[in-house]
Amino acid sequence: MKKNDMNLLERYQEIHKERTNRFSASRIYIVIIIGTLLILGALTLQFWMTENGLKSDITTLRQYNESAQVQTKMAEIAVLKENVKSLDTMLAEVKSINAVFDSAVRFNSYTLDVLYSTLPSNVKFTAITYSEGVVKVDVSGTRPSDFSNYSLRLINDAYFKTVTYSGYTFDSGANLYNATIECVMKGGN
Amino acid sequence: MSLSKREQFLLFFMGMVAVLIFFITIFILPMNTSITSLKSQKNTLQSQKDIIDATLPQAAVLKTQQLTKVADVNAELAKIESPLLASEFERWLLPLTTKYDMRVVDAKFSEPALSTPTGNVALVEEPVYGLKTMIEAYTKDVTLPDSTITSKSVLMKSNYKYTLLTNYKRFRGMLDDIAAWNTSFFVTDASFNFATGVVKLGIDAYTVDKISYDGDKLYQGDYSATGDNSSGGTLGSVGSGGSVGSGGSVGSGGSVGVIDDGSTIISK
Repeated sequence: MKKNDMNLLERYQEIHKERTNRFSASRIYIVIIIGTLLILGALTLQFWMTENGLKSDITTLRQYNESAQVQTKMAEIAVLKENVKSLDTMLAEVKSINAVFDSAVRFNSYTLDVLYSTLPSNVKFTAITYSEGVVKVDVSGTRPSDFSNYSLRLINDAYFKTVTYSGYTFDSGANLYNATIECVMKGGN
Repeated sequence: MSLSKREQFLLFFMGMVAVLIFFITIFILPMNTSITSLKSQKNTLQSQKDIIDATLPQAAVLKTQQLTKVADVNAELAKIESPLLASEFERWLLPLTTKYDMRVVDAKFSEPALSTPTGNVALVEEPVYGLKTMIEAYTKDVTLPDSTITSKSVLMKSNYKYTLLTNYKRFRGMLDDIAAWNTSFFVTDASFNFATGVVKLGIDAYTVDKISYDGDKLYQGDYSATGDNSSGGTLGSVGSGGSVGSGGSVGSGGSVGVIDDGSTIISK
């Protein structure tokens, strides 16, 4: 029986050469270059798509925001807001004026009635003068005590804020005492 | 010339770096900057859109608010008279002098001027001294300083001064009628001399322009004032109650004076 020697070296060298060719440096470089270019291309493409997407979104948003209809409505709303604001200011101002008027002194018959109803029987009015919330009553009486009596009656009535007089004089011709009583009126509300 | 593997690798590496730098500089960085800028623009526009979307539905509410506020302002403004001329003011007062048969001795009117309303409240200053302050602090009964409501707003003000001849009772009635106008006309000065029957009357008329003139007055037609104090006397019957003089009713409930011999002031 003939014996055949096994030549494994030849086969080994063939496989090694094949493998060396497959993983040669130039091939690896080419693969790396292609891979890098693909990655960079993909990255650029993604950036480009993102940029275009944003541009498209911006165009859509701008068209909506700047559309004549929206702008007209927004202008209308701005005017309405401005009007409401100025009306608020006006309202506050007019209310403050009316509050002053509500608290204002109103000189009317009630004041005269208070002055008259508390007048002692022997005291007469000479003149009544009202100015800027103060009533000055010129009175004449037969006794020097008339004015203190009248003033105290008015003070006790509490209609006026203050009731004062600064003295009296005797008129020998008329045989009467004269005085001016000053009453400060209270405001309204 | 043949290159060693190491040199080949270095050349390759440098080439790759050059390619990367080229891509990054020419494409990626500018695009990235552009994207950042576009994102910022988009955010701004998106914010604007959000504001618009939130604002647009407010239109109806704002319109209603505006109408309500106009009504509120008109209601407050209605308490103040519209600007009027002296001739128009006379249509308020002369019917009263006629009603109470008063002789108008003289009348002086000022031009309208800007003025801050005061309310004619005279403030009383309480004296303050150390011991009083201590006592008030001890008794916890502190006297507050006299005060009044003020406004910084400015209105038009005209002053009308009349000198009249009448008696006390008619003077009294006239003051009530003026108060019953319930408007922005205030008696600021008034005096009655019991010896002569002379009345001096000063009225401040505060006026303001209005948003809407609905309900405003028309002053038209001729009016014949006839008071001459012929019934005489300086006192009348002093006291309260009782009606005085002839003529119709003057005003009511803050409305206008309407005299029964023909309307001289008419609500629009």
